[in-house]
Amino acid sequence: MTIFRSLFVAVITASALIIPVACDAATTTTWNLMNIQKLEGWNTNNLTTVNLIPQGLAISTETQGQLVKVSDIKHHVDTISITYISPSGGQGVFFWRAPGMTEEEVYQIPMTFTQSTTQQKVILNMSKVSKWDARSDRIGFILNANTQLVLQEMSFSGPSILDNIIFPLKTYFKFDVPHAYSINFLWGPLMTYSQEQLDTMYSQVPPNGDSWNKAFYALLAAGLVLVFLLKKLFHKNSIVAFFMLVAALWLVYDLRMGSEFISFARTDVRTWWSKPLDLKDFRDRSSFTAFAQTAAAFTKDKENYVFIASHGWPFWGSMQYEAYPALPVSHEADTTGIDTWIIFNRRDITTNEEGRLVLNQEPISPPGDIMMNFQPGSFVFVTR
Amino acid sequence: MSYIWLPVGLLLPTVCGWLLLRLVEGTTPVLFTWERWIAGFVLGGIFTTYAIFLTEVTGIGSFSFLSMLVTQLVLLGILKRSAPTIHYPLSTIHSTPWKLWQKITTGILAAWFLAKLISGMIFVSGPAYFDDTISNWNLRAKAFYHHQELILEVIPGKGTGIGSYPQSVSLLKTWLMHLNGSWHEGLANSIHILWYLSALSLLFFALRRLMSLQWALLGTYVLSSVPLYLVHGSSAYGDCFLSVVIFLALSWVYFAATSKKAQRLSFIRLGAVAAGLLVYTKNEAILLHLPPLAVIIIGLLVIGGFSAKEKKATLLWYGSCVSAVLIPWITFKWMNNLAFGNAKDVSGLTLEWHEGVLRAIGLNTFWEGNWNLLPVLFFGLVIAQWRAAFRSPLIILTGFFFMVVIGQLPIYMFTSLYIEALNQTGYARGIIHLIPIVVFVSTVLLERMKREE
Repeated sequence: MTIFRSLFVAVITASALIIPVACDAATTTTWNLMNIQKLEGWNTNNLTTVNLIPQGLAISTETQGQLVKVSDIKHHVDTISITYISPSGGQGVFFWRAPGMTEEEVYQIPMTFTQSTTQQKVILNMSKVSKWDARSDRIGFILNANTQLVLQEMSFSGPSILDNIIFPLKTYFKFDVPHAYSINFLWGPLMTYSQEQLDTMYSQVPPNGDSWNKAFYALLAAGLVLVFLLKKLFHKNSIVAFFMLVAALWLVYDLRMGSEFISFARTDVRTWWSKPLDLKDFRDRSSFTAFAQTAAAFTKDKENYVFIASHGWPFWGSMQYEAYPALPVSHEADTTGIDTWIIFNRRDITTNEEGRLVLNQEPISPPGDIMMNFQPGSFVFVTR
Repeated sequence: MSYIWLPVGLLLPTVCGWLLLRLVEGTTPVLFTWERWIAGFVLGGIFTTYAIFLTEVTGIGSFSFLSMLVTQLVLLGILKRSAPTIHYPLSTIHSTPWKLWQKITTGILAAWFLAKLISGMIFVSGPAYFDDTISNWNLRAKAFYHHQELILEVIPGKGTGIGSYPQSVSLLKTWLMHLNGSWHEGLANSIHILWYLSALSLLFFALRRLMSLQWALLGTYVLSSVPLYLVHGSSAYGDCFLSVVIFLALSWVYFAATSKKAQRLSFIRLGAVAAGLLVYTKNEAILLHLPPLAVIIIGLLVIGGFSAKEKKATLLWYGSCVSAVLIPWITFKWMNNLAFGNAKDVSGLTLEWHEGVLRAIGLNTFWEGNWNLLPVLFFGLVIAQWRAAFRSPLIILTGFFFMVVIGQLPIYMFTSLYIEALNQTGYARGIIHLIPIVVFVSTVLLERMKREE
């Protein structure tokens, strides 16, 4: 009994020491090219000479050429270290072909190989590169002409095991805000693996994260396998338990998506319904909606007005809707007889001493007065 | 204060719809009391606006307040004279006794649903935001309201793309604005949340006809927890509205197939009315939904065990109801050179393979947060219970789903509409139309599976 107790204490103690280290260690994939006998998965194109030597993959090229590896990295990568020796130094690009791209498409970033006869290391911080995707199936370099390089090692490091657990859970309840695309699709629960990725997740389209659905499907698949095994091995029908699992996952999913939808409404209340008109913001259109509603009053009983905004979509259509039945006209069209000019977010449009609107130092309107100054660059101008 | 016009304005269309349904049910009512009112609201809105449209294009009336009012009152008068008023209470399937955990779960989920519903009301009543609200549904309502006549080219010089859509949704908004006396964004949009609630309620009643209260509530909860359906229910788009009409048209055929004698004929008549009014909802209805529905009706007549009298009645009712809307509507479109696609004309589309469409569809269906776990639940249940799904009357719904989905795929894969799938702009809306059907089938199969245990 004492032996078992000692063993138990030893295991617990060892685990307590090992687990934090294991969890804290970053996940790394290394492509070593030193002291190997055979080059596998690498392809070259248009490089003058390529030899495998004990120090690494020696390349000498008089023309621009390509070195590429078939990649199958299974984890997230935010740092890439490239170890090399380059007697000539040189310029090139690092490229990758992200999932969904066609054969001819790649993303690329420029890189420099420092001239030196000793080992050098370049570290690429890929967390700052929005298009980087560790799941890319081709990764490589384009080397400029007259480059000599011995590529020794490439290592791809990602977040630790602990990050891989904590961040996906944290990200589960990270909500999107309503966008024009929200009527067509919702990204749903996503997984990220680092604080930086979490902070910038929705700042790009598509968001920088993996779908949580894969975890749900994995759980459902595991449940189904278990049901099958229990039936086969123990003649036990556990299909009800499986549907309880489905129900539990459904509720968790509903909690996530329902909360996101409630957050949409809360944002509307906070930024639109509870604010006075001049402080109202509406979703991702900021103050435009409040401006359009205020400016629309100046188009009453008019057929047309001139509308100029910083962007065509969505402002043109929205202004047209708010001011209907008055219709917008571009300032480049014939504006004769139109007295109302609605300008949104165009600080480059001002009035001159004659009272005309001026764009690129050219007068674009007859003389008039600003009747409503909403914010810098956004106003209603009525000709005299 | 403006919101008071919502119940007031919907009174006439709803009563007209209720009377229409009572009329076609005749001496064999098959709908639950509340079900008839709710279906009456949905179908009455189409029925009255279609009549208003006919008065306008024939020059008898216009889209003015008085003309719209008179048209509805005349309809009401005609229907009131014709519809039988005798009420027959219907029996429902008895519920199993409630267990404590069921009560607690139902209470929690009801509170959760209420929170989402209130959020939906806030979300929908804000300023116009989504593209088609601004360029189609509400803009046309504004045009009809301001000009008091049918305008096909709402923005001069921009063509009649959106003008090719049926006017039902926009005209209902026009009617509400006439009552209010000015354009009110929240009032114009509020009707959409009622269509969403109608979808939930009508699904509940349809399920209740087949199973216990607990199971019917479960199915209703499932529909309420489909994320993109909630967004559509809380947005001024026509797709949730269309989904309710499709559900009525299909589920009533299903109940006709599972009923006998007078009840069967009652459901056939109801289904025919819904199919006819389906034409006047959205453009897709003619191209995507009526053809599979016709296949199903023909299939039902061939292998559905209908008597000669039932076959004759089915053909007569469907022929009359669909023709009554389809022929005038198509004639009107042809006369005005209006497109037959989804605002984009299908006649000029060239065929060529477009890469990436299937991937985009897969992404939207399985990897985004649009549908909760409904796709895997539905496909899993259809596979596990394939006999029930394809070799019972349920094939009316499963068959319709697969015909529409498979029918849509070539449109996205081979025509210039592929961009709607790649950009995920059009594809999901096509699925939204089918979601109540998918939930109905899933719940029926799930309940059947549980019963077999």
